[in-house]
Formats: sequence, C-alpha cells, structure tokens
Amino acid sequence: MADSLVIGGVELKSRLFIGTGKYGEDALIPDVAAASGAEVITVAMRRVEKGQKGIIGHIPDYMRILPNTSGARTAGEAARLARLARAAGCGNWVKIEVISDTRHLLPDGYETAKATEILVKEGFVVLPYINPDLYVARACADAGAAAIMPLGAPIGTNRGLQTKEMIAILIAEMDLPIIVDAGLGMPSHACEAMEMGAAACLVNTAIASSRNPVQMAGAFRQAVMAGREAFLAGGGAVRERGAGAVASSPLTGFLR
Amino acid sequence: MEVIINGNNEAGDFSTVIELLNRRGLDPKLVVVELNGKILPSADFSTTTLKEGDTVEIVQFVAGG
Repeated sequence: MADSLVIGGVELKSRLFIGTGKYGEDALIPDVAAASGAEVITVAMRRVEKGQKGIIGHIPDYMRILPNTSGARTAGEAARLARLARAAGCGNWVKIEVISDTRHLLPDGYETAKATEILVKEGFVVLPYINPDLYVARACADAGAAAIMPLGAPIGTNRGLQTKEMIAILIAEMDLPIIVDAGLGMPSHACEAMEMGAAACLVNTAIASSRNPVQMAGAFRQAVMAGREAFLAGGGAVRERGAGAVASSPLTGFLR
Repeated sequence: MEVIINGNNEAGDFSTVIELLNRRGLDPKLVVVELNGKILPSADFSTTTLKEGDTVEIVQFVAGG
C-alpha cells in the first residue's frame, strides 16, 4: 500500500513542504523544489511595490501553492488575505497565520481558530499554523481544518524540535495530519518529528539560509523519508537508563 | 482625479482598472485587485472604471514561508 498523505482530498507523495521565503536568489527555487521532492510550496501575499517581482514565476507548474496569511493580526485580516489569495487562481488551500506579537512571532490561537471557522465555511482547505496546544488544535479541528501545523520552535530560529512533548500529544490525540512547521533547523530535526509520527514537515528558513540550499533541500528530503520509514517500521523497545545492556550476539559458544 | 492605491493618494487620469495595471507595467494575470474592499474579478478589469476617491489594493504572491 502506498504511504500517501491526503490533505483536502489531494493525495501527496512527498511529506516535505517547502517555503519560498528568504532565498538569496529566487531563481534557485526550481532547483530547490526539485531536490526537495516537495509538491507543496508556500507563498505570502503583499501589496505590489514598485520594482518588486512576484514569486509565481519561480514556482514549478507541478507544485501546489499554499498561500499563507502572514501579516494578518486578526481572524478578519487572515480571511481577507485568504480570499485575495484564492482570487489569484492558484487553488483554495490556505495556511492560516495570525500573528500580532512582532518579537516572538507566535501565532494567536484564538484568532487562528476563528479564521479557520470562517474560511472552512467559505470552502477553503485550511491548514492552521499554531502553537502546539491541544485545545487550539481541537478548536481548529472542530472548525473543519484539513491539517494542524504546530511550530517546532519560534519561526526562523532553526532551533529544532523544542516543542517535542507538546507535538507528541497532538500526534497522539488528533485525528488530523500533524505537519510540523517552523523552527526545524537541520534534517535531523525533521527526521525526529517524522519518527514521532508527524504526517509531514514544512521547512523554509533551514533550507533557504543554508550555504547550499539545493543540497540542503535534498538532505531534508532524505531525512523526512527516513523518519517516515522508521515510524512505519516501529522502533524497538528502549531500555531504562541503568537497566544494563543487552548483547546483540549470542552469549554462548565462546572460544575460550 | 484622485484615487487611493495601496494606501497612497495618487492623482492621475485613470479610466479602467486594466489601464491602471498596464500603466504600472503589471501583468493582470499575476495580480489581484480589491476595489473599495471587494475583490474585483479579473474578467472585470477592462470594464471597471475608476471613480474619484476609489480605494484600490493591488496585491500579488511574494516569497514567504
């Protein structure tokens, strides 16, 4: 049986989502995308500024666009951005991002759940970005979210799976796919999340800020696949610290 | 005539939305336009005329995570 991830009725083969932010050169994006194997890629929506180019021209045609609502501080602002994004004609998926704290950039769970409710009713496939909080996740699920995107660490920090315990709770309790988003800094972090049973990872800064983004994208691809395989395989029992070692070779038939 | 475009008051001889986009060198297929708080379908760009005091938002997808 193929191990695919279904979001909003769409079957995905890759469990790595990537972003388009912070690349030194946006022309790298097609090569990064190819190396990552990702099928889903995030974008933001902003006012057109003089001299600023849009990003769509750099995104391979086969990819599914996941617009975010970054810049939104309230549910209403997020809904407005989502509607504008849908009007751009790149599908009805949206990553809800509602942030009003400009230092820590932590998502506002209450406003995010409200935005989820509004946008699901309007026919969007909604992926809310949240702190790994069980109650917020449940509120989003009750509102009809297609997946839950908890942060591994504050966005853009590359600090890894700092919220591991809380994410484990979401994975255990929620029926929706849990997609770890934000903070994953190295492939080992993504692998760890996948080993725990996360459905997918979204990685932007770690790839974009690396010395060689194409190579790093490939490393994340392999890490996500390895973690997923390990989760499916099921790890062996872990012995308590101090319980002594267990030999892997027979303890009989020694040549003495 | 003066209209508010992306938060700035701009004076000019704007007739239709498509003309405004063309004059700014914007590809109408790559932008979304909100006119007075309502999304304007791209099919209406060439038939929608701008009036004094209209508020126009022109947005596009940019890099983001």
